[in-house]
Amino acid sequence: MKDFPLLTLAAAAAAAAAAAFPAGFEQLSYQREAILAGEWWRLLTGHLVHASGTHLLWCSTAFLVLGASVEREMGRAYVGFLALSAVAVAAGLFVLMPRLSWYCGLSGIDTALFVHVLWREAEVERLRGGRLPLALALLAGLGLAAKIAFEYSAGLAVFAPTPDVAPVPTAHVLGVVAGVVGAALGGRRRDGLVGA
Amino acid sequence: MMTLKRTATVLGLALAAGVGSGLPATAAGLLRPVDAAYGDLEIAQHKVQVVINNGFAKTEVDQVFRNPHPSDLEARYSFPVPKQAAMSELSLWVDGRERLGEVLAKAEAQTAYEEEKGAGRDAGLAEKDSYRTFEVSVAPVRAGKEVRVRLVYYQPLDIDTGIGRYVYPLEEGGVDDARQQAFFLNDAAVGEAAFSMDLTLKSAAPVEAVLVPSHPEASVARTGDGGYRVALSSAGTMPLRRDFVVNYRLAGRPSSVELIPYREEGDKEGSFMAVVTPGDDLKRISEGSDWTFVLDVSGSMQGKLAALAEGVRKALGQLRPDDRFRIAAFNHSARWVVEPYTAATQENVGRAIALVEGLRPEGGTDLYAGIQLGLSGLEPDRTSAVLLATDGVANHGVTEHKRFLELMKRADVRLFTFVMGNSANTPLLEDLAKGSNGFSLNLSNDDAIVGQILLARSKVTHKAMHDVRLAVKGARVSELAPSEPSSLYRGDQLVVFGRYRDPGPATLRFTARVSGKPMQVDVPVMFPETDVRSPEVERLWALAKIEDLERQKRLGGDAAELEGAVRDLGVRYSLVTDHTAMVVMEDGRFAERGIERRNLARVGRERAAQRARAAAAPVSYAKAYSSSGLSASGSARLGGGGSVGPLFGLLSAGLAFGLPALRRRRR
Repeated sequence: MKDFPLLTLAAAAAAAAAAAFPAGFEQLSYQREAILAGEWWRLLTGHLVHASGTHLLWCSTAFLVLGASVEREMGRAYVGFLALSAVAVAAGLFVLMPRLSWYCGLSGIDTALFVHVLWREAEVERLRGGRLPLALALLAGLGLAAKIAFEYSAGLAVFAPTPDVAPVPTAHVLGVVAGVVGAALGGRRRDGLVGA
Repeated sequence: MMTLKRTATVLGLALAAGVGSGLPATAAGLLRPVDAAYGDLEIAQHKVQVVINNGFAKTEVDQVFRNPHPSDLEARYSFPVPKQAAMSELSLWVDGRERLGEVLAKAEAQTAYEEEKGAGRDAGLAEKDSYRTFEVSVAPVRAGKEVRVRLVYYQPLDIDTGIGRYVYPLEEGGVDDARQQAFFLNDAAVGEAAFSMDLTLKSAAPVEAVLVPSHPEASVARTGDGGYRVALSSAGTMPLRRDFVVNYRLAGRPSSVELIPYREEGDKEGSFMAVVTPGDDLKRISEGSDWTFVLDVSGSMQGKLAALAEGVRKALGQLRPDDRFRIAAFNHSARWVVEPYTAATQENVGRAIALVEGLRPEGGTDLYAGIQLGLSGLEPDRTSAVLLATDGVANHGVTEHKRFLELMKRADVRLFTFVMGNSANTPLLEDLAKGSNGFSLNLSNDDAIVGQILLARSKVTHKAMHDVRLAVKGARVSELAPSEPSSLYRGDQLVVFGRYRDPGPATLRFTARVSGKPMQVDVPVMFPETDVRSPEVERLWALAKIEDLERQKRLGGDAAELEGAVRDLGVRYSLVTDHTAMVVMEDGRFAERGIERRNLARVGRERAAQRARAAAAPVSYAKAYSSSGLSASGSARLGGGGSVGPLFGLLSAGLAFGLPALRRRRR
């Protein structure tokens, strides 16, 4: 049970439950005015609600895949990383985008997890001298950078069939920052992976 | 007043989701022989080109129909009247040449069409059936041959809270069986249409994102001038059953006034379109309220009720402890579903939802009875609102427009109407909302639901500007339309058209009241001697004026006098109205009949201007303003979500599990 991604599954289940709960979007989404009025929990819970079933499906799928991997690596520290990412993305949006009235979805956290895994894999392969895996990891990083650049330039999501929600690429940039910070803090734990 | 916002949310959700998941929608787009013995004509092409620029949208619908029958036929084409549409061009192609129509008084146009048709000559006729449909007749459609029909209409832009919305209506609303039988209900023929949509968006204000919620398969690309192009095409199996909806998000702009003028050199009068975008300092409402839901459960709601119940469930689930609710339903009569006002406890909400879910759609639509019931028993010491959800027309009991308005006058309550689909009696529902200082929200089944809901919600949770007026000091401005003061909710723009005689500097004065407190803003503007970049503004002014006159008629004005005024404006500015029609015939026949080619000249000016605009960068007419009353803070409020897709999922899986697996294998 040690490697069982309990927290990841619980968070994904919470996102699914929020979609089923009638008041979920209203009560939990990031809404600037409500946050200003003291409903600060939305900085955390805004990530759990989604604009549609499709939006939930893709955000949760990526979260389950990446979260399971990171939870296994980080252990108890994982909960801290998730909280840090959630707050960093939401607080960043609050400060950097004062005109953004609402936001929802796990993709900011997905991006943080993605960067964390990317950093981990690149570091492990660098120390092990695995050139091909290192190149593949760097390619994935370039893919992420291209995705965000496209979102900024075109105002559209890349191959994301969620026409009911406009992308907020700044959330993904903030996710990158959170992922880098988390990966740097989690560096010691990867020593074990390298030596394994 | 969280209650208000949530109720709006519910209704928006219910209505929008309801139609989306409800009845099999019927489609527009058929050219049907008038002689019912013959089957429908085939649609060889349905090409739509839209240009959004300079404050208005131009929609050009170019269609080719094929007559598979052995006889020449007269055929008729019908499509829903788009919101505030000035239908300006009807063309037929005869021997490869375009024949453009001219607008005459309706009876005169009908006679001319019948005579041309009777003489065996090519002819066409475009008429308007109130708020319901434009109907285009064509004769003859030669046996085994094709006929090409082209329509053009203009609409002022619909921008709310910084979000632009364009709808190309294709879905019939399902509220009029006879109409469906006559024009819409034939999926097989519709399914053969080769449909293409090409929308060009030019904007002086930066566009941040574009969404096509109705057709996610459409391609969206940014153009070199900072605009966007949306394209969708089908090789031959595109059912024309769904509205085409495009949303675009503008970058934040300060409080602004846009003045788009048109004046030819030497003209005595010019026209203008003024767009006022107020700032974002309307305060949030905090006290609890009483909510009355009035739900349409007539037969046309078949298939939509489950979703309507779901929407009500979501709304009730969000009421605050100091809010109360009750629910009425109506079809051929009205009755309470939940009454009296009930505290929004979990138990009460659960019981109410079960009752709403048990409603069954049937019968006619006694809208009057529904509203009358909803307005009864209001408590004067509480803030009250009535939310009416309907997709139809009043066809049972009291149906006179004037009686509805009188009913609303007797109540001190705001009415918010949620109008779903393309066939509802929008003028009536808008008049009712306006008369109570509420608002009316049109929803397509294909709208982006979350965005629409949040827009509605932000309106009802904030104080509104009432008694909003626009006046101009100087330039000898006259004929403002709309002439009546209005209310502006959060995110709304005020769009006013007018005429001016003296070019030169003037002051545009915007006045309103918020919570009884008056506010005023003066903005200096310049009315040019000559500006020929937007000749379409003249038609849009005439249409706004016509809508004003029609509203006066609905309110009980002198019908004969007002109809005459509408007819004169329609003929002069070549607009298809309830009292004018556009007739197409061979060019020589216009001269022989002594019909002045007003529209030909007007269209020539418009097309020349459109060519010039297409080649030029978008022009900004906006002028920012600031005052203590209407602050210059950013006005566009944006929303969105993080977005990942299957590609990101695959990349993630490869990274998280693929690379470690590869490592293990190499080890």
